[in-house]
Amino acid sequence: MLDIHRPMASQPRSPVAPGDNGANNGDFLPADELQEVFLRLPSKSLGRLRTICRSWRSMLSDPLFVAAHATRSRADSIFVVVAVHHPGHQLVDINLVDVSTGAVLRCMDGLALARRRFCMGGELLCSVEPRPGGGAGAVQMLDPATGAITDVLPPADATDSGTTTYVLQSGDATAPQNHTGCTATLYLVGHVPATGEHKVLHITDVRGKQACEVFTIGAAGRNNGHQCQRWRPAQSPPMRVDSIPRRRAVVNGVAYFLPSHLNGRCLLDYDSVAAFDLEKEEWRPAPIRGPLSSERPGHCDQLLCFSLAELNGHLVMVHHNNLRKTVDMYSLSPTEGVEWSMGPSLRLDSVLDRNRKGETLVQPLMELDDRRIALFVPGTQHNVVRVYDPRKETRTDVMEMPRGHIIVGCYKGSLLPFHGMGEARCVCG
Amino acid sequence: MATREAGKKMIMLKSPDGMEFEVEEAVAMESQTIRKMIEDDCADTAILIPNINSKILSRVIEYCNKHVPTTGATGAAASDTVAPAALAEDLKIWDAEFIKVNRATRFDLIQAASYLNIKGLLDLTSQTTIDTISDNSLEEIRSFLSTKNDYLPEEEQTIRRENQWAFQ
Repeated sequence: MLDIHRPMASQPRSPVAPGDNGANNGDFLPADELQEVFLRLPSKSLGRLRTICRSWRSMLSDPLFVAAHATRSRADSIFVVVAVHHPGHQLVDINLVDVSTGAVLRCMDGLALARRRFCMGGELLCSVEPRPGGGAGAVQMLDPATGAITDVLPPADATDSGTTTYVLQSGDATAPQNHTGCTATLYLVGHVPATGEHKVLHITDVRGKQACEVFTIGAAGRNNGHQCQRWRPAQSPPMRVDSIPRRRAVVNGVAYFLPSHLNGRCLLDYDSVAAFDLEKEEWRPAPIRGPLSSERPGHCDQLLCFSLAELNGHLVMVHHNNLRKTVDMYSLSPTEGVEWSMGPSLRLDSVLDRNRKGETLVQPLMELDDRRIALFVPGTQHNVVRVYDPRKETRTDVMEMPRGHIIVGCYKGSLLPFHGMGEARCVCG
Repeated sequence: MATREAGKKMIMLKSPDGMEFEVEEAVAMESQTIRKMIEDDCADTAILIPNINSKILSRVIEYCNKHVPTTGATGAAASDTVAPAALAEDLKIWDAEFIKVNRATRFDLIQAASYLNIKGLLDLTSQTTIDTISDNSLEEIRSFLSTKNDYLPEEEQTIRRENQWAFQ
């Protein structure tokens, strides 16, 4: 964008020199404006446009342009990362799938990472190696767009730098290193907008209590290697949080969780939400009251009727209302007051495909540009990714996922920066 | 030169070819560039809009007039009795008519929208170009945007291979 032109009293009234007045002599769009148009295009089109001519290639490979495109382009945030496990071979494929078409745009095949846990947040895909006893070990970063794998915390460092670092703290008690009863452990990655960092949060059970640890992946130096890289213990959550993936979400630097069934009677409301601030690395002292119990205190449906999702930058509570046969969505306002507002309510009859076996629930993945919603729908034989249009109540299945295919997360990066940027500069001199 | 007329604050916009346009402040402020000038208080006198000739400027003002949030008296149909959805539909039809211009004018409008920072107009004017780019072959795009293929054949192959993912 050009600078603001400040009119001055002495500004000449006469027309500016011809040729300088910007009127088009032909059908030519100047670079600045061309760039405005390019910013509105999905990265796939831009990839093609790089082959048009040298000047376009250099413009489309300019890191500033790429950054601007990544931040503004919602058209690009339509990828899910799918892990395909091949248990027989101890191998995993990571695929980047276009949600609107189901096309696999990138794949990293045959990674020997079968034992690892994958987690995705912002534009980072991480794999973490669980350690015996429930702790977290080596961390790798995978770039699903380029296929690059970077060691953030090499296995050697994870084991060598002393045991105490990695022993999880549970309350005051020092956790035993070979404790049993480690039930559910979860990993998540979240982007911290305030610092530009990504953080990995690991929650696991230690002697019947949940313990947390955090690992930071720096902003600039995603590859800043060994600089203070270790897992740090963090507070325990204010209630037991669930380890089921659809029952947590990261929005704007805060990780939100629904309660685990292990809370038993201590828990009044199934729609309570525990919140972990990734920047401060602390839990909000008390759970946030959910949308249903806010209206009718003491109300609870079944525990697993509730799930969380990030849609369009908001935390959304998804409630499968089996009485009304709807999927109701409530979004949390980002202000401190903590209020829920009712979002769309989808009719289960129109969302679910009765011809497919075992479909009972849907989990929103993301909202597309035209307000259609991409949903994950588990079934008996196959799971599917379905794009649903709430206004027309139409659905399209874009991807069928056999067993062993797992959605790791949604990819929010641009696909652009990944091809031949260095070379682009060489060619264009 | 800002004047008052019927209780509404007016702003004078001048094109470099000497034409003057008096518009409501609210209409002018559809442009983020002009809004900034007004808010910074450097718009006491008429605002000269460089680079945009009177023909294009009048079309831009026409667009802003139509798109300013209606309070009832902007020349657009009063919105009190019309449902928002119908109004949005009406606006869409109006936009479609508005953008039926030749390519040179459209490119001029893109430049004007970009300079004046009017997001809606930029979206609207870019759309045809975006559609062309999305739907056509590389050769057609080249001719549409007046660019020439200046790669050497072997170079082109390399670059094509690098960006293979975009052609799948």
